[in-house]
Amino acid sequence: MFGYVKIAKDELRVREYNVFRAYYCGLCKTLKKEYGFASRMGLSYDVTFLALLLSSLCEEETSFVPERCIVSPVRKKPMARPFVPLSYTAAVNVMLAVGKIRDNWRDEHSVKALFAMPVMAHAKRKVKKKYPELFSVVEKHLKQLSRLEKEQCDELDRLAEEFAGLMQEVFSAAPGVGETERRILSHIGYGLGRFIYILDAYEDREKDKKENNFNPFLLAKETPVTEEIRQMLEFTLSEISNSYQLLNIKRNRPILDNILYLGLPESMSRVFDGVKKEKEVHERSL
Amino acid sequence: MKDPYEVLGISKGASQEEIKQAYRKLAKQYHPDHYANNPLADLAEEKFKEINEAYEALTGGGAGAGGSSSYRGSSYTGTGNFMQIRNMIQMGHLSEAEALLDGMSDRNAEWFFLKGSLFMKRGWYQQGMNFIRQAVNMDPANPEYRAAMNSYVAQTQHYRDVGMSMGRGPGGMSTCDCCQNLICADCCCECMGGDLISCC
Repeated sequence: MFGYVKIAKDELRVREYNVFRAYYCGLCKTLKKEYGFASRMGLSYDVTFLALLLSSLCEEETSFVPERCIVSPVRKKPMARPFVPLSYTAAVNVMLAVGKIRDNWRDEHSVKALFAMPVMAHAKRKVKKKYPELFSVVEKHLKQLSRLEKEQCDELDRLAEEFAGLMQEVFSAAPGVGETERRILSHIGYGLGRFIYILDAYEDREKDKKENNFNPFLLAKETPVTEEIRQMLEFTLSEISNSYQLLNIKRNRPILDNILYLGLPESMSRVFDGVKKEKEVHERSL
Repeated sequence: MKDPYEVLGISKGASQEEIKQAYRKLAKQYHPDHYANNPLADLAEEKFKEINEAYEALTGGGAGAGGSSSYRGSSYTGTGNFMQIRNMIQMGHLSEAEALLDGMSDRNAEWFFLKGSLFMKRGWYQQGMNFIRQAVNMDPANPEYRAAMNSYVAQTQHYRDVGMSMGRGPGGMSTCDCCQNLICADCCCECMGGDLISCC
């Protein structure tokens, strides 16, 4: 995915930040254990959010163990020990990474993607065997999306619907959640998919124009009003958060709140206002 | 019934003031207006009821915040076709409603409004808001269309407010926000028949 679903680090307590890190590292370890060394490519914060959210719904407490890893080979760091939510999100990460790499190769013929393909092949086979239904649904949505893009579809909602649908399936297929929770997760997934797709398209429009890639914002008959797009994305975020408020969160609420109410708007203002501006504001406030 | 203190998220010995504060915050969060387009509206309504009951149990009085201020329950009298489509959208039969709408040749403000409501329910907010804006432009006096626009703005504003209370930005309301809020409040008043800022 794209890394828009992240924490607003400045607003987190150090303790909460450490927990977030521990989930990220735990996910990385789980990936290595279940899908091999290469599968850790493209581990994103977006997937970490899913791991955190699913762990917060679980009856089972997350246990943390100090371990070494490749990034920190000397000092041990706390890591979430592999359990069901982590194992599921690891699978999701592999599926999305495979889809993204293939997409990159097809659209941009990036050499990096070409090399990544065979490296990921093993992980892909494994995940396909473990979650055959989810795998085929994800494939279906990605295929549908690239078909729409090939047809030069300029309907933003229709395009976003495919990625939203994909994320909806991913969120609602999570193991061990009740029926009501599944309904809520499904709507959260839908909104996040929509948000990610539109924000990504908006951010890439200059680059896509230069490289002659598909971008719905370049095809639109009338130039989209930036303020309207922004407000619409913010509305999408409010739908996500309102749905999240219906969940019975058992732990890590401050971190989840931070991502949903601060981290996501931060990603948005990074795209709309530019990084530079954000830095300036920060410096001025110091 | 659940423990009212637990529902409001406060400790057993909470003062009346604390109870009121906790209630206000939760009642705002789960207010039906914020779930107008959300397929989980039924869950929010349950929660809203639970909070009101807990508050009543703890204070003995009636709840402070009233029900939904949006258009639900308004005495709408439309022609047969629109009425039927309206019900379909309410019930979530979106594709049937869409087929009926697309088959109509008379595209008045009501048509645009219903098409917009349909898209909002489906999660296609871009087109949804475009259609609703169009409906407002065609019939600016219609309180229902305006209410839909206002609730879109209000829901987004609520989301921003929660983020703000968690410590985003240097804090406080900027001059621009203040004006924007006043204008919003004025629009709401006008919908209800009153007026806040007499010159606009």
